[in-house]
Amino acid sequence: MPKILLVDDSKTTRAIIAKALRAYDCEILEAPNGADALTLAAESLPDFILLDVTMPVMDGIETLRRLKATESAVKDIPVMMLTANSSPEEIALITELGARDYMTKAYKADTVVDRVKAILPLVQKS
Amino acid sequence: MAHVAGISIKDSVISAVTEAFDTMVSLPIRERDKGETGSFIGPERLVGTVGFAGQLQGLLCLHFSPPFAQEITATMLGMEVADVEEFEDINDAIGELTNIIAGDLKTRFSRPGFPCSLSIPSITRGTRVEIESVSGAERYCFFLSAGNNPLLVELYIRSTST
Repeated sequence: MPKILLVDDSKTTRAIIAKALRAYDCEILEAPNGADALTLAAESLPDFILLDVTMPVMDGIETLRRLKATESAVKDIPVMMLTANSSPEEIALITELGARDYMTKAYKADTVVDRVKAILPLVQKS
Repeated sequence: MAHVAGISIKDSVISAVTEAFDTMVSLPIRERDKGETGSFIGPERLVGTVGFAGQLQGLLCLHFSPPFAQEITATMLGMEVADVEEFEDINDAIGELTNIIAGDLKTRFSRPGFPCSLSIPSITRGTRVEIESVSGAERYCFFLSAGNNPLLVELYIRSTST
């Protein structure tokens, strides 16, 4: 069962995406900020990370930087960034830091699932 | 100002609000006749606010009636309206919706060379809520309907570029 770590300070966004992903045979882990996400990623080694950019405590850019700087298997986990701000500078930075993909808010949850499936095979529950 | 580097503020706001409401809560947006900001929503209201800082400074404010904010929250969370009881859930949903619209506007305005940053969203609740303009900012007010619900969008904006 694929394990997906969903990191967003918005409970609403986490609920929307988690609900869509649960239609597939995967386990959802949730974190409200980057600091909690780093701990959860190290403990649980998820197969995929969905990471919001703008968050309190530790934002998504710094979280991505730290994920990719680890010496453990965590650095190889594919990360897709979620952002309400798709400036060319931010997208360039996200790409340079090693994110596999990004999505600009607003988006439908099904679109997020489709983009995850392009990187991580998911099987829909029957 | 009316335009940011040739981009219509009105068109940008209407497009950003329309796209966000269509995608997140499947509600169509249409413009309504101008009214008084105090009576358009009703005295009790909930306001989602996100600030802009940088070469473009200002505030985006979305005014909702409390029942409409509750309805939006229910739709976004996939719940029954009656089951939405926590202020925290409503604040989070309205904050996220406001953040999405502000992010879209930031992207639209950044392209013509007005880089700016966004604040985190904040929520104000109360009766007779009035937003005062910051010094030198121009105020744009849009009287809209989202489905059958009144939606007031205010944008206070000023440019620091020369």
